Amino acid sequence: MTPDARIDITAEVCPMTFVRTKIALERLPVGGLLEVRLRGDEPLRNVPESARDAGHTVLGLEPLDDGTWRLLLRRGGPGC
Amino acid sequence: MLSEPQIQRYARQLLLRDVGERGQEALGAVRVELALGGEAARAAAAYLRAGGTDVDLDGEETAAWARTPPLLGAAPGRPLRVTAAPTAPDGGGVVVGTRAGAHVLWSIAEGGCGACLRLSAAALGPPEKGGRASVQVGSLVALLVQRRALALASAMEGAEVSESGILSTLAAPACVHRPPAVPEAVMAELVRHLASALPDEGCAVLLGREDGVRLVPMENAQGAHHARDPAAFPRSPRTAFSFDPRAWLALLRAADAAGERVVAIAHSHPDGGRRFSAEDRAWAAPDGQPLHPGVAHLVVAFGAGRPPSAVWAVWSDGDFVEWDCPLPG
Repeated sequence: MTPDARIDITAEVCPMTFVRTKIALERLPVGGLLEVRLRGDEPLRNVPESARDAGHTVLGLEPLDDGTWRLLLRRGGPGC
Repeated sequence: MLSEPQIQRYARQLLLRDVGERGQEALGAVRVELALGGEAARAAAAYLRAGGTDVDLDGEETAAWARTPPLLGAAPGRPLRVTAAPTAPDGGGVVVGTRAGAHVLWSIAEGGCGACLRLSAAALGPPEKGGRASVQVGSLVALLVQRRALALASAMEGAEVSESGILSTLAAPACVHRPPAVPEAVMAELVRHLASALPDEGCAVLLGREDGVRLVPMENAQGAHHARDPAAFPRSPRTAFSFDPRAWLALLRAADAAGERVVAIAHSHPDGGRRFSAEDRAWAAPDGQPLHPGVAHLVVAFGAGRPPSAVWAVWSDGDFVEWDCPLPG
């Protein structure tokens, strides 16, 4: 699946990790795909969970060779 | 789209479900005119500016920490006004006042009923300029304005802070200054009944309850009145209508027993006159005050060669205001 947008939040700390993710999702049309590169325990714990709480769908989360993670999200309905 | 400095500055509230990027832009697109004064105004200005909304404080200034202007995106267009009771804002906004020792706030949408707000504001005393609850009242002003900017608020909503600081919401008054909502089927039934009286004027009553509105067809008693006492009833049923007093009284009693109220009185103009006429006004408000407060009037005009059309007349701020009434197909 090819994402419609990609963001890199490996240099961000809480709460900007999810702020960046949330804004990037809001800028996509409903159903659009967002790829998020993240690093460290905090975003790994919080970003997928916050995205789910906000009504988006977590499609995948996989480790990459460089120690970062690749999170794939699908934008939820217009109210999210 | 928010700029990077705006994202940094409003990061915490961008996280809120009801805000996000679009909500933050909406907060920035509102300009608040705070004609309130005192500690409450300064607190409201501080909270609003922190939220990203620009504020005109009407000469008063606030502490340095709350003076930082918001990082506006576009030029703010929509004004929302905050006034001190008994003055009510013209257009959308909030009025702040006091009632029996409590602080009361009413907030209204731009298209909301100004007459309802003015009545609610007139029932309040002026707000206190200082005091223990000022910051709480100011924060509530900001909250009500922000709810409006974010399109989270209903047409009219209220809040009250009691003497001991207890916060409660207030139910908006039932609006009688605008035409009632009448289902299409009821409206079609009404037009059929009025048409059946042609070439005389026809008349009817709409009764309402929380679960809906229903039609009560009435007989035009003007013919009988005119025949009995032409001096007192000079007009024939061709150009006038009246209810039989016993039928009217019976209807009111039955409605009362059923928990219904008279929502509207309808009559027809067989000559096609599409206005709430001078005679209609004189009948409905003989001494400059409505005979039936809170009751709307509906005129259905039957013109030769064209479909019937209708107009509402609703008492608001000392006169009848006409509203177009679309009729079903």
